[in-house]
Amino acid sequence: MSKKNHLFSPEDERFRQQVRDWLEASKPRTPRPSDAQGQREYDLGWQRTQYEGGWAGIAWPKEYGGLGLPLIRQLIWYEEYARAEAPHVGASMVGLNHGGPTLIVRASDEQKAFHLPKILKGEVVWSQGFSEPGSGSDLASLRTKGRVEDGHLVVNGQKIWTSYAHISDYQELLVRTDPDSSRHRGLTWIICDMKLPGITIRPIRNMVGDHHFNEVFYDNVRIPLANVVGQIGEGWSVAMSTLGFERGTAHARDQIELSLELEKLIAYAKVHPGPDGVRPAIKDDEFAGRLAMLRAEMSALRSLVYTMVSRIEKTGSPGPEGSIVRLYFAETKQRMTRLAADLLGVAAIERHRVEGLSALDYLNSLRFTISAGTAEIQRNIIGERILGLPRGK
Amino acid sequence: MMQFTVSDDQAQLLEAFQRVTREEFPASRLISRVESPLNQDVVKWPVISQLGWLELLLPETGAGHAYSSVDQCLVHREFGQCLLTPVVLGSMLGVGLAMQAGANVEAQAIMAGRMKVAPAIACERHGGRPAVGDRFYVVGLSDCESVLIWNDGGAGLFTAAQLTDITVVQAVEESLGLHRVTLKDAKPQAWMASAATSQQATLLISAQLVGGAQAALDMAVAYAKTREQFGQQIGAFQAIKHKCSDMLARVEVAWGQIMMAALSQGDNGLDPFHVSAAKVLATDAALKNAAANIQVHGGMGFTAECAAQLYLKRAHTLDLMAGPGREHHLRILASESPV
Repeated sequence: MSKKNHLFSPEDERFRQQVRDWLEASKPRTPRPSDAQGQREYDLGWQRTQYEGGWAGIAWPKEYGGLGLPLIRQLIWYEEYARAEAPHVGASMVGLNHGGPTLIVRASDEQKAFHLPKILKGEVVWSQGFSEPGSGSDLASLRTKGRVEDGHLVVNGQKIWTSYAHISDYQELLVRTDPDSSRHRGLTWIICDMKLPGITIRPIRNMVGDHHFNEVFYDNVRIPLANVVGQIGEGWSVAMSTLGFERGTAHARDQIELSLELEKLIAYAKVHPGPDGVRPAIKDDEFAGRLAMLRAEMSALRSLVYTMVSRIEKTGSPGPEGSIVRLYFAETKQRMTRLAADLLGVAAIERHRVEGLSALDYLNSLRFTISAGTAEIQRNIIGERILGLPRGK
Repeated sequence: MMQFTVSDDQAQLLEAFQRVTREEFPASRLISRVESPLNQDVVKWPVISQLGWLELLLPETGAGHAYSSVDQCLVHREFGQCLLTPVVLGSMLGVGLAMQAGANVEAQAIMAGRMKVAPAIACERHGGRPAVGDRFYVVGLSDCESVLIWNDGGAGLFTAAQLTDITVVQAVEESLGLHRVTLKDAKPQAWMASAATSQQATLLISAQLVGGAQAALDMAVAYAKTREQFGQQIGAFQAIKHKCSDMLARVEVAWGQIMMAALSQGDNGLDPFHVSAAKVLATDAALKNAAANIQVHGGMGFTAECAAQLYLKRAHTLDLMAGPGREHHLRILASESPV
């Protein structure tokens, strides 16, 4: 932090300096390619660099190749990662932040020994097969079927919103193995090799024009039963495994990244004319008010992340309060990207970036109140699990 | 890392305050107050003084316990929740100011409850030392023996004899006991040329605003769990539930920033960026939550008989007492990058 910050101990600050030095020396300096294979190589290569530098799996347990460091260190890592403007985790996201941590908690020793090192070393891409066309917010209603047949699970059905399915090696796949079951019972969590016959992937372009998520179709895909994580029928609890050491701190990176973007906007508003065409935009009352509120909100967002880390240290879990952080991050990001578009004036009509700014960032920000639990679901969680309000009929 | 959650010690401290506030200062006392010229919190001044509340901003209290900035904010959050008269804040700040300025007689008199301090809001926002002819709104003047004026340049105590054109003003918040006055003698009894009092006042008012936002949330949630329409509790409807969720999020956001500000306390005092950020977010939480609580209560929420109005009116008062939002926006943007 450029400003003297006495929220952290001197030991933590020394660690911060080490992280900062390494990231500055080692982060990729070429832009991320736009083609799928190029992205795969770029994202995995960067993960491999972190592994070789001794920085992979900051909070993963040591026995699985991680550094086993406390949560505070992971928070600092994420803050410095964002400050260094290191590349997004990209295609490594599911392996590092969801699939891998789930394996750590629930998989067999053989499964862990095979998969975890590959994830940390940047050898494989994982994707997530959870959502279905008929099961979005209501995930437990999913209908993709898995039939047990001579040592295999034979899968038929369809998944959607599967990020990086087209370049993934493995998938965490949630299917209904008990056809008579409903809701959370009768589901199974299985590791699916994405090269198996019967898998068809159809790309979906998002409204910004990028392709990273897909529809995935399964036509009699035969997955060995040895790939089931947990037991048949336990899939829901495996999918919901809480990961005290991982969940939540990733917002430390989002928060710093967002703050840095805002500082760029403030710098832009100081030198570019505002609505009267003469004075800098920052001298305009409305722009000044919006910029100031966002600066306050960024600081509050950081305090929410720190509060969550304090809570995890105290209770072992981020609790439903994690939904407040997610919601606030998403809506603050939307407000900020909208402001960026407004500061551009009429030039916002172009796709082309002007000094790093584009209205496309606002379009893209709309994803954050939909993905990883819609804003409506987050508000239900806050209302029901924290405030104790009744569920609707 | 510094702890952002409430510690066990702090929870105990808060509980001790709540035992008194919930008993002695229920919000309902202010509903009848609308028709009465008597400030009932001032009537209870001996209680407030005996509990040692007036000295708890001092580096060392009579009981030998020093309250950290975070502790002070927790206490003021509770004061805001029970809508305690701003004269308490004025007097608490007055003690510290008198001490620092070497006015020990005045400091002792305030702590003993013999002298009460009315907080003033400057009409002329020049931020310099108060000048003859400057006008102020003063809260609780007729109950007080002294007036506290603060701004970014400093803070000082004045007496009623130094004021002229003293006019009773009907405030939006009826129970306030508001006067408009003009300064005729600008030589303060005690003056400290530092932004410290202003920063502290802004932070503590922010904590009170969050307390009010929390009280409005608690009231809305309690009502949403009991009131039934269309055959179910209205809290089951997402339109109401999500309103309540947003109220909680605003409380958490503003409180988190208050923690940032309180923990920024260093040798050079509080960080002005963090204090102003806390103020604008606390105001946002207090005003929006108060309005949302009225909406959740429907027609009843709009009546003078319902406590919901009290939180909106107090939020309105405290917002202005800590300086209009625009002033804080400018301070926030004038600060170096907080990242």
